[in-house]
Amino acid sequence: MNSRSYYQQSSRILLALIIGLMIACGEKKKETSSSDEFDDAKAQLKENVERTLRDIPPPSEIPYIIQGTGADFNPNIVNDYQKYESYTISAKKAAFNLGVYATDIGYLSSYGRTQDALNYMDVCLKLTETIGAKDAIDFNVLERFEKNLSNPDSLAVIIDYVIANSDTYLQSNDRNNIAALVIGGTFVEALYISTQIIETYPKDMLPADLRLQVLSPLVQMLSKQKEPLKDVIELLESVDDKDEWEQATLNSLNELYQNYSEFDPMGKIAEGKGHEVLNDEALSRLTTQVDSIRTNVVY
Amino acid sequence: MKRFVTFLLGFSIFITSPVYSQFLLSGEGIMDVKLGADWDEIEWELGFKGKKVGKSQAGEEILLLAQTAGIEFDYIISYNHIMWLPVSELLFKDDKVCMIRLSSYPEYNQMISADIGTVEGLNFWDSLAEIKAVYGEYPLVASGSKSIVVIKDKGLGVGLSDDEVRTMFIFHPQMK
Repeated sequence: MNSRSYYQQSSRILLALIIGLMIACGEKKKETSSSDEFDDAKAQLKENVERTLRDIPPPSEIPYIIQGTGADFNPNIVNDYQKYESYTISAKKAAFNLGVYATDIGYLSSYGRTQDALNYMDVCLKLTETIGAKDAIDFNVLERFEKNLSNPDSLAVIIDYVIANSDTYLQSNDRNNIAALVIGGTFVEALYISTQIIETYPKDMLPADLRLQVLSPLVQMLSKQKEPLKDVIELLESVDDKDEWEQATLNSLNELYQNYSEFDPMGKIAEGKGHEVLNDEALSRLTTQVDSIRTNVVY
Repeated sequence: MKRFVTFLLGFSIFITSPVYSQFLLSGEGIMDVKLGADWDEIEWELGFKGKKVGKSQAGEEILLLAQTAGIEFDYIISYNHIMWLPVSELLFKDDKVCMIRLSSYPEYNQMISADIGTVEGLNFWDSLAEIKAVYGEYPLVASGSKSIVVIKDKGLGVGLSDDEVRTMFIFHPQMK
């Protein structure tokens, strides 16, 4: 099994855990409402969650591409796991940061930072408690995850198990708003890592054309996140009775999406304007927007 | 000599001021979100454009503060976004920012607000007594459900709830 598969599998476990976060309390809600309308809305929301999870790249995908750029591991890019305690005062804050940490685990794993990844996994579990989904996590599976972090083949079996089990839980309506924020956090952190690598890549190390060549896969990958971003937005939009957290997240992501329509690095390259890609205004704006959202979320 | 004095001044502010991650400069702005900036400049700093609303949609607290401070404005850019500063509204006059409102009310702004303070030493969740200790005697103005203190000569206003500073306003200093 190559290293890419290993990273993907590690992060699929995390995604499965995220799916697991959506599970708690679903049955209880079912008992309290029997209207067809409610069931339809719930089914729609479930479908949106499933589609979004299917479409967004696994958190490890982006770090894998980053590795291809030859960028050194940057410990300052990930959110300090020791900050987790301050997130436990709010379920919404905890949900968002659970997503952030999940992506960070992908980044850490891709650089072989096994012990760090375990520390992050540990705080992820604590945050699941804050968002009221502790019971959703199968701790035997987590124990196996820890034991098999360096054993990719065993991980594959565990992942199948976790995903299969999590799927059966994916029927909660009142937990899907929390799930939407977790997914939002995962997505924002992946964009943050990518944009920061591009932003901080040494400018004097390589000639401009070579620098573009090295960063090109990352820029391309970034440009392909428009549709997954739309999925995340649709997911948030389908949450009933949005509170201020969900609405503000939606507003920020909608503006990010609008900016995406002006971000077309492949078009620039096709037009022979490749030299403009890394100095593109839309890329700078995107970097600022992602940084702005992420700064608030992890504060 | 001038440089040396500037350095000493800067250094003395640095060592005597409370440690906040973001300093609010009364009468000027916060970080690069400054009075006098246009909408584009603000968008670059915050990352987001926000939503333009008419004067008639201004909230009770904004109207009270603008009136008390003697600030006229044409329209408002409102933010209900997750972003790195807790800016909630910007008031514009002749397409330039004439007042900045920071709000700690939304839950998503509470943690970043906790780390914001004026260079003089006032921060969110301080009490009226602490405002007086930092800035001296200024009247508490109340209307409806809103209570504000306007320090006109400094270009600073604060909104209180349950004797806690929950909003801060920055505007050009006015004569007393």
